[in-house]
Amino acid sequence: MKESWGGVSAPLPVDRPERISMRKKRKSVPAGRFAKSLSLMPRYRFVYLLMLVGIAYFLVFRYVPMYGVLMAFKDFKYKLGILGSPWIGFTHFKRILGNPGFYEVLLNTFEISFLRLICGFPMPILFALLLNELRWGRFKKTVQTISYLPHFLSWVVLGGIFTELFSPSRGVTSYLLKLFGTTPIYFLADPSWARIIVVVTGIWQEVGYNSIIYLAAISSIDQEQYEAAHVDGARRWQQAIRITLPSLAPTITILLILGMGGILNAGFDQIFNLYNPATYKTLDIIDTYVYRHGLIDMDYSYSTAVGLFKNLVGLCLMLSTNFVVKKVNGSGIW
Amino acid sequence: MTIVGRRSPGDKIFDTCNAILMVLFCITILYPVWHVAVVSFSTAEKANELGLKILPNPASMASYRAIFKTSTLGIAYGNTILRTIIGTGLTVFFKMCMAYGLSKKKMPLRNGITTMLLVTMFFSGGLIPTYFLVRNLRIYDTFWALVIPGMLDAYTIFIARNFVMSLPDSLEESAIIDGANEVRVFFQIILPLCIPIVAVLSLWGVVANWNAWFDALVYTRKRDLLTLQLLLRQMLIESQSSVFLENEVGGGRDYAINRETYNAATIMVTIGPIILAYPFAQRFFIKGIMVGSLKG
Repeated sequence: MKESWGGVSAPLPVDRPERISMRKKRKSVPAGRFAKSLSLMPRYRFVYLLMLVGIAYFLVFRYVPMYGVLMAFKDFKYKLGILGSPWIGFTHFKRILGNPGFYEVLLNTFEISFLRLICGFPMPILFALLLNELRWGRFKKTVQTISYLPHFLSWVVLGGIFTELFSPSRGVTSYLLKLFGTTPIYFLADPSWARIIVVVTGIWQEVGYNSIIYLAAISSIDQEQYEAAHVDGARRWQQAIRITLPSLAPTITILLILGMGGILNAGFDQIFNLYNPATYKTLDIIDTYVYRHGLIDMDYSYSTAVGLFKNLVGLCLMLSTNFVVKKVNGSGIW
Repeated sequence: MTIVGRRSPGDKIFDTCNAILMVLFCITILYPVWHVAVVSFSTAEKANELGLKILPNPASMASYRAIFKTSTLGIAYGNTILRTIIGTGLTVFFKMCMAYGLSKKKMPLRNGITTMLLVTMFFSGGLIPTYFLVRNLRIYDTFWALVIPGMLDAYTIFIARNFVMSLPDSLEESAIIDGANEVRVFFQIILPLCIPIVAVLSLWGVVANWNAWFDALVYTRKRDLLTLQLLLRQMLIESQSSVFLENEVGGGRDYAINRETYNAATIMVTIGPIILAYPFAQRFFIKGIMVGSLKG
């Protein structure tokens, strides 16, 4: 790729002519295709040169760890390396399945994710619809701008802020509870409250940002539809339900599939910064479990096995949701 | 936007309720930040009082003075700024290189490379293998561990590629006929035309690097490599704050400050730049998500 022909590059064909030819029906000649593409490669040597670092990055930082997953089937010793460590087959997976602690973590992960999906998924849609009904342009813009703000703060920061707000001795929540004559609750140390806090603050953080995509879809709806509906006597909420919402359906479908695929990602950053040993019982999820067992307790092979298990289940969930949506809807993402 | 004709009384009630709801929502976002700001300017005694924090009374800069006296904050700030500049620069540059390459429809291996990137969106090796990779590459506990492992991701490369593909081919074509190679074309023609997407990628990069803490937590140990977020985390969660206070502030204990005001001041210095830049930068983010969603 790198050799240059005397430092002078011959004029190279660009993509344009091919685009034109693509409009004509191209007959593929499978046998000649490989040779042809091989002969094309030198022409693109400078492009390959530009992509060299990027490709190397993906091979090294994304694909080498995939090979590293072999650790899950080995009794990994750092000194022996991944290849040198002895094979032990599915021992770690048997350990996972025989470990009641793991089921608790798995259940937590599913419960938190489902809560997030059920409560959190409709919120940006609702928010977009309500925002869309605001009449005063500047007010609308301001609300919108403020609503994205939490998305740009890290969970370390937000964790610090919420620890302060929910503090039983100084926090605003304690103050409000006191106004109503109730005793303070230590929200972040109480296992059942902590989970609610995690779900609510998670939704709070992303509502505004996630609504952007719906607002974009709303702004592309043909205004004449609304005018026609108005002439026919449709009220505003009827317009919202009969015109706006159906127009959002494709966007909703795609995001729902992606959401299902990510169901095992119950929000590591957030939980890691909000949980503590008192709330492990309801907040420990697969990712935090992998972190603690892998990097703190140095049970490398076992936690790799847990991570692999999570990845595979997540992949299956996404593929099967896509399959179901395709059957029902006619088209999924793929 | 759907206003056609007059508003009925029901409409008016709805509009009012809707506006109130929106204002309340904004308060839930603005108040927490304001609360921490007030605590950071409060004296220890006032910070510990129960109640809404509307204004610091009396206002005190003691916490800020205390944290700025420490050398740790300087190190953390320096590292955060450095990783933000270098990390963002590398991310944007190499993402654009990949985007440009993948925009070449006729290039052999294009589909292969696209698939290679696509797979990484759905499957990854996971935490532990990546950790060992970083160790084996000898970048563990170096500055590069903060910058390189998260440098590229398939999703944003695809967004950038879509942008590059939407550019007209004619300019590139004429440059190539004039004898320029693709590297020159990339730098002199493509990149200048890509300023909108470069701006979006840069802002994403800046926010991601500024807010990153997990890589610093896992891949570094040295105090010299401490970043703001990690420092804050140590103070908040690992409750090293008191130790830190004594070690770093040293000397006579200052009763005007306590852990809470100290932590609040650190939160404020950490989010300060984001809050200040936010009103100017936020429209680029919106642009970015539009680019991503409409074409991706």
